[in-house]
Amino acid sequence: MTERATDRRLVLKRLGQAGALLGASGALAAWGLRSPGRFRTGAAVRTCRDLRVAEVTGRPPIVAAHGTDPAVMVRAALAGLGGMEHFVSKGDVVLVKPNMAWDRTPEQGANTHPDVVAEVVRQCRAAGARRVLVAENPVHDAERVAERSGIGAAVRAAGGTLVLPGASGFAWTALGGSVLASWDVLAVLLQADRLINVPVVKHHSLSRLTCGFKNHMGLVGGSRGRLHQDIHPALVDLGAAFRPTLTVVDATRVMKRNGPTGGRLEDVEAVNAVAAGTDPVACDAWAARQLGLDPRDVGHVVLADGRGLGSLAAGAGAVTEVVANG
Amino acid sequence: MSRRRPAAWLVAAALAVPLVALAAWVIRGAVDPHAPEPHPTGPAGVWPGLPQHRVDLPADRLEEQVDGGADALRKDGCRRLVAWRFERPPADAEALFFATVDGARAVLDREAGAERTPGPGDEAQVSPQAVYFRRGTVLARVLLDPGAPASPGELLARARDLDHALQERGPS
Repeated sequence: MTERATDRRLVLKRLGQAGALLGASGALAAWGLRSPGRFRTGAAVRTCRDLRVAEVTGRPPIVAAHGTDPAVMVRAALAGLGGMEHFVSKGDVVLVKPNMAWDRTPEQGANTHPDVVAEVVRQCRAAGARRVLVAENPVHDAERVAERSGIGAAVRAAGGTLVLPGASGFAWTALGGSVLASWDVLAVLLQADRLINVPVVKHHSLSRLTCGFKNHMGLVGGSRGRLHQDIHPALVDLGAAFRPTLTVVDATRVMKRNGPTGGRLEDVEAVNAVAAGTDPVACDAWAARQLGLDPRDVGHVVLADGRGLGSLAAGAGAVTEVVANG
Repeated sequence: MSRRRPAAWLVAAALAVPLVALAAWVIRGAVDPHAPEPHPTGPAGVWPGLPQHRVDLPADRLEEQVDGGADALRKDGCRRLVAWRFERPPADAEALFFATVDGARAVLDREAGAERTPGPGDEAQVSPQAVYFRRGTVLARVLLDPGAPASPGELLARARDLDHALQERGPS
């Protein structure tokens, strides 16, 4: 055997080893990328702050305003809770989280009404907020959703800043939940002093109800399919991690069937109400009733009540109803 | 005459080029979230008479279009969703491909109700703003933008275009 043949065999052997190493690295990377966070360690994990404020003695946990003008209803509901200035202080960075997930127009009821979102932004600004960020991780194309929902233009006109996250807009965050230990969370949430959840009420084929707890899903990234696998405990985990300062529920028009996507106007009914509350369980319970559901039949509402995240009973009996005409 | 032997590092580098290229290609594919995935039933291609589709998703990615509605569709045997945007009149259209006629019919019943009207496909439910129809194992829905100016026949014409394309392409 010649020295040259030996050299060639050695080169081929080393190339084979290098190829196997590269292939194994690629396969490992692909495996890790298919499951967000698989390779992340505790050292990089962030945590969410509790963004609630102290209750006002004597105020109801939830106020529902009935009328025809969304902005007037928002103001009336907030007034019943003591005004936005009780929840937002001068210099605060406020994160407003509407449902802005769908490439749908306001009439279709898939997203929060733009007038509701805009009024919440204006109230935050009036209370002295330094910045009002409006964020969502949408299901459909973010730019199109912002335009067709009407929320993008409404937020800009009201003095808010729309945040449409790219792939880098998330931070791996400890949620400490029973099914969601850690997950990718919108980075802006971790920087905010206040969180105002502004969901729309609608039917949901899986969770039965979309409102405040379900709206938290737009604050996270990662695989939506995995989040939906065990949806009720997952929603409660998110609700336990993100403790909103305030929830403003849009029930101006309600998608009563074929949610969450909808699209057909026959599925949408005018309810002409906006509720605001500090108890997220009470808010979802109130929302369930707008859909004709008994809140005790909605899994995540019952679980959240059991976890002490709010009171289902408060939604049944302690709602202050006000008429809000301009 | 003696042939000059190439340097060992040069031989190694030349032989390593294909491996490095292959590894780069694999890694690029793995990290690119927009990389095309193999279609469950073949290439998407062109739908005759329709604008370019906006999404074409296999069953395991339905969440990207319908989010929490995906599980219910999968339970009925939905294995593919294709969506289009029409400009005249402005409308959104989706075709859901099921494994069986019963699957498509179950979703039609659930979403559009039991009432049927004349329209495209094997059965249809037509209103001024929405056209639902089933063609074989495919359920289609065409939704006019609320408030969009459209004559009564325009939305139906787009639904018929979609029905025609579905028949041309077959239930794949």
